[in-house]
Amino acid sequence: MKMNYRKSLKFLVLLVSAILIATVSATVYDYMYLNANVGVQGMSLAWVSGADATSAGTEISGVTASLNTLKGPPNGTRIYRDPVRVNNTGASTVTFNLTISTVSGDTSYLDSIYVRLYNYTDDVSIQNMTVWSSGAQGSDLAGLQLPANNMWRFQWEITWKSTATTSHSVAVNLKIQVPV
Amino acid sequence: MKTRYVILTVALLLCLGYLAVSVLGTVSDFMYLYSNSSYETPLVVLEDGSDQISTVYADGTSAKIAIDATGVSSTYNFSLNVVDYNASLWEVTLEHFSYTDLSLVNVSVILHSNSTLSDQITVSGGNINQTGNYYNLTSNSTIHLGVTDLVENSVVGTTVLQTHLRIRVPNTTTYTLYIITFEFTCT
Repeated sequence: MKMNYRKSLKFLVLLVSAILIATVSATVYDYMYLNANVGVQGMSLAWVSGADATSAGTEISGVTASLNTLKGPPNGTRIYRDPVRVNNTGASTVTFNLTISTVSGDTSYLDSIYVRLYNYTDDVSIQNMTVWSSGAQGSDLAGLQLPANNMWRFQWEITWKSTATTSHSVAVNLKIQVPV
Repeated sequence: MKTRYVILTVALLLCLGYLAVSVLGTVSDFMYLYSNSSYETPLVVLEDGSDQISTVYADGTSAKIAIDATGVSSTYNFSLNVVDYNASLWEVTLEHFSYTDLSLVNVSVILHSNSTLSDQITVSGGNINQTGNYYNLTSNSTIHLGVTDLVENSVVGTTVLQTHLRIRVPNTTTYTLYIITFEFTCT
């Protein structure tokens, strides 16, 4: 069999060229740039432990507060008057929403959970949040306005049904959303 | 042709505006409040008193006291027992939260331990007063709820008085509420 070297060489050059073109094409990008300076902006709202922090098992870590040991008897109401507060250390009023993220656990044995907001200084009622009542999750609170250098306490009220037993518990996650 | 360009431009501007609002509206700071609530076996319970005029409901955390009032003043010193089965000191007080037809009777409600007593609620002439005084419930002890000086005011009907027994650990603001209902019937 006679080989045509000239043709083969041409084919080889063509093949290498094709590979080079394909490779270069595949690695050609367009670039856009987004440069941002991310600074640390201090939130003017902060959690503060209240007078009932011990009995409620209050723990605060940055923007998260946890009430770890809330309890209640069946068919009676346990009230934690001052387990945790939110403090506005800023120079202007902060408007925020208080939302119910989740209510989970043995909710069928739970009669109700209410969270009532009071001004810590003069004890004036701000607003009440129904977290759980009549077998359903309650509603969010929108447009709450905490004035500068003011503090609100979060009063928790828990009522278990008479059918509840020692194995039952409920977890509630609330969220404060401060539009920037 | 010119109209088409205008419509297209307006549509683009609307889209841009919507996108801008959407982006700006979702910028927020967040704080979180987590809680875990669990059942607690009642540390203080209500029990029937020796006067046998009470009904204690499930778990001993609520009760009703029903008495027929007459024109002769009567007293029931052992209407209901409040029992502490634990080695804990509590303070208790009685506070009303609703009532009907108060003018039908005059009556006083007290807490006592046989040796000391604390006035709690008085109904007289259609008015109601509560002292708000706390009374000590010491560890593993029993105190009594008494109904004293009950007299009807010559009118047929029933006075219903709804109260909370407030139970707290001394010097704290964590407390428990038990509902105690009084029914005074005038015949």
